[in-house]
Amino acid sequence: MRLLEKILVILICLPSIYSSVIVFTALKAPDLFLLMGFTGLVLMVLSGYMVDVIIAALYVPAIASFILFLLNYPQPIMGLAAGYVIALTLLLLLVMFNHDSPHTYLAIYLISIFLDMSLLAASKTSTTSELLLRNLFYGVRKFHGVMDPVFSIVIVPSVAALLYHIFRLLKPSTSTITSSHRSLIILLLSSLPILGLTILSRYSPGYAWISSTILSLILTIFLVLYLNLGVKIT
Amino acid sequence: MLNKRAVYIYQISATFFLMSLILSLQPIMITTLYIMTFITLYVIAASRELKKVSKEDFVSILSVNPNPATINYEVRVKGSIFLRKWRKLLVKIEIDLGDLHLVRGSNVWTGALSAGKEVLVEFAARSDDIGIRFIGPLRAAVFDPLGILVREFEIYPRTAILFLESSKLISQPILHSKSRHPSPGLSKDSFVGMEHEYRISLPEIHEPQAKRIDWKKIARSVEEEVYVKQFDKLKRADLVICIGSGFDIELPDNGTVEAKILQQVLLVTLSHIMEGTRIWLAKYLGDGKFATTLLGYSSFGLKLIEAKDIPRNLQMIYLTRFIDDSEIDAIKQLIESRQIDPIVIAINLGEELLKYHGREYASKILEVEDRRLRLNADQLGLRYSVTDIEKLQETLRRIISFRRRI
Repeated sequence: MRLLEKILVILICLPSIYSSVIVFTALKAPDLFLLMGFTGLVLMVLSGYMVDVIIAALYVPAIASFILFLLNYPQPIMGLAAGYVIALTLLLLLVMFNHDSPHTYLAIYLISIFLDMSLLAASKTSTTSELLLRNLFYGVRKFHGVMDPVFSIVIVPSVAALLYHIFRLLKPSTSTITSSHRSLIILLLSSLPILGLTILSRYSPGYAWISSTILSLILTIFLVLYLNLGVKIT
Repeated sequence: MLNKRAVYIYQISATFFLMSLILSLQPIMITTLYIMTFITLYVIAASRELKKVSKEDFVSILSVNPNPATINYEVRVKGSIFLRKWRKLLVKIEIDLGDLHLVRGSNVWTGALSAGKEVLVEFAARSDDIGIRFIGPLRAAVFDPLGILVREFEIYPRTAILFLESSKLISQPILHSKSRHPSPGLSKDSFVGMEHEYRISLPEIHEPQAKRIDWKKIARSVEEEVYVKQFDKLKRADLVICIGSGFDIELPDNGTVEAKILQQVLLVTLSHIMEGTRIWLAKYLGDGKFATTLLGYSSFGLKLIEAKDIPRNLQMIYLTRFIDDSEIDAIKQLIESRQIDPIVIAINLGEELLKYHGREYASKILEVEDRRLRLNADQLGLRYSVTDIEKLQETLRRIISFRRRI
């Protein structure tokens, strides 16, 4: 992986890294199996699926926790499961990074953001691995997003990196979203209505909700009409 | 037009936006709305430049060698594309394989095309089936630098390739005439054929000329009739031979009906082409559509010349089994639109059954099929003949030579 790609991956994974850090800091006591579950999965992907790493970091803790579970000690397996769930948000983005279809990567990214938000919501108060899992699964019904200012800030470079990644794939072309003035200006112009909506949501969330719905409808209808009437292929 | 990739990105963004709107997930809402806004604004900005690109900016050549080809042997396809103007365009070029199988190389090229730079798309393909097959069209898709927008152009039409069972007709040598007969005919003889060969001996009604008497045939004949050599009179004319519906049937001896018919057509028409008759070969594709090619002849043998359409005011021999429901209307429309003088030959395949089934059973089929063919031909209200594969060659020969119904 080239340096640029490494930077891109790190930037795209920023929200997931942030949510993982928050979950770890919210733990009442350090959980060895949770840590092993998290690092095991991450190491497996980063090592390029090396057999030795998979056996040491994945199979050994899994077998050990399962034996303990059979001996009536369920905490280790719960910790391991919680570690896997936390690692999942990172893994999705890492594994799918070189996938050919950018729309799949976008969907994966949005799912990962949703999981990050769920993790952040589940670890609002100090927690344990069992509580974290319970909050994650039972809290979905009551879950209505999370307002974490740092999380909102880290999403900005992450989305920028995501756009750079998904709109550069016409090989052997080397064009990227930042290589032309036009796309850079449009990137800035696009952020204006979003900025307006964000400010509006501070004062009146209801109006912001309606405005964003109207904006999305206008965009879609305009795009359909413009492409069918404006630039019809002759 | 939006590229498929961009459409999917927009669709996913819109779907997640709706979901996040319901669940009130602000970060996802903002992200997806931002992507939707970016795509829309980018389309407005980038489409203006892309609109200026036109089909005329491309120069293309599509060559197929050999044509006609032999089945199961490779055909080399070469597409060459130039750009007249534009500094640089991101282009994906694709030659549609049609009914052919790719053997070597690639039929797709993607990259940056600049003015004066030639791009070659070369590959080898083959066909397992006999008949007229098509390669192309050659398409170019022009993208904006981010690949969000795309414009597609069909810059070279479909090209017909004739696949034959054997290479006999392909390598048949041409007989060069020593005379100064005007082009495109090759000999000054008033009769069609090589080495003055005659086609048939017919009973003579009038007093025969001694030099035309076929002494050998009289010697072999048990009847007392006098046979004279009948030559095909040279009649240069424009002619279109249409292969209609119902011939895509495999025969028990590994051949197909279409292959047999094509072979017969080529055998009969070859000498006429050499003598200067222009013969178009058309194939009914269904839904009122025809594909056309012009048969030609060069020092390498029979060749196909690209022909986009059937010309007006010519004679047509239409071979069919009337299987396609829309064929009768298509024939009528073709005749009306091009003022064609038609002769329909309906092929009765019932005769073929005699080789594989009992006479009684085959005769019944033969009768029913004959009735069906005549019923359909009557609907057309044109001159027609009903024949079978064995007699097709003779029927064609007489029609082409004497322009008369058999």
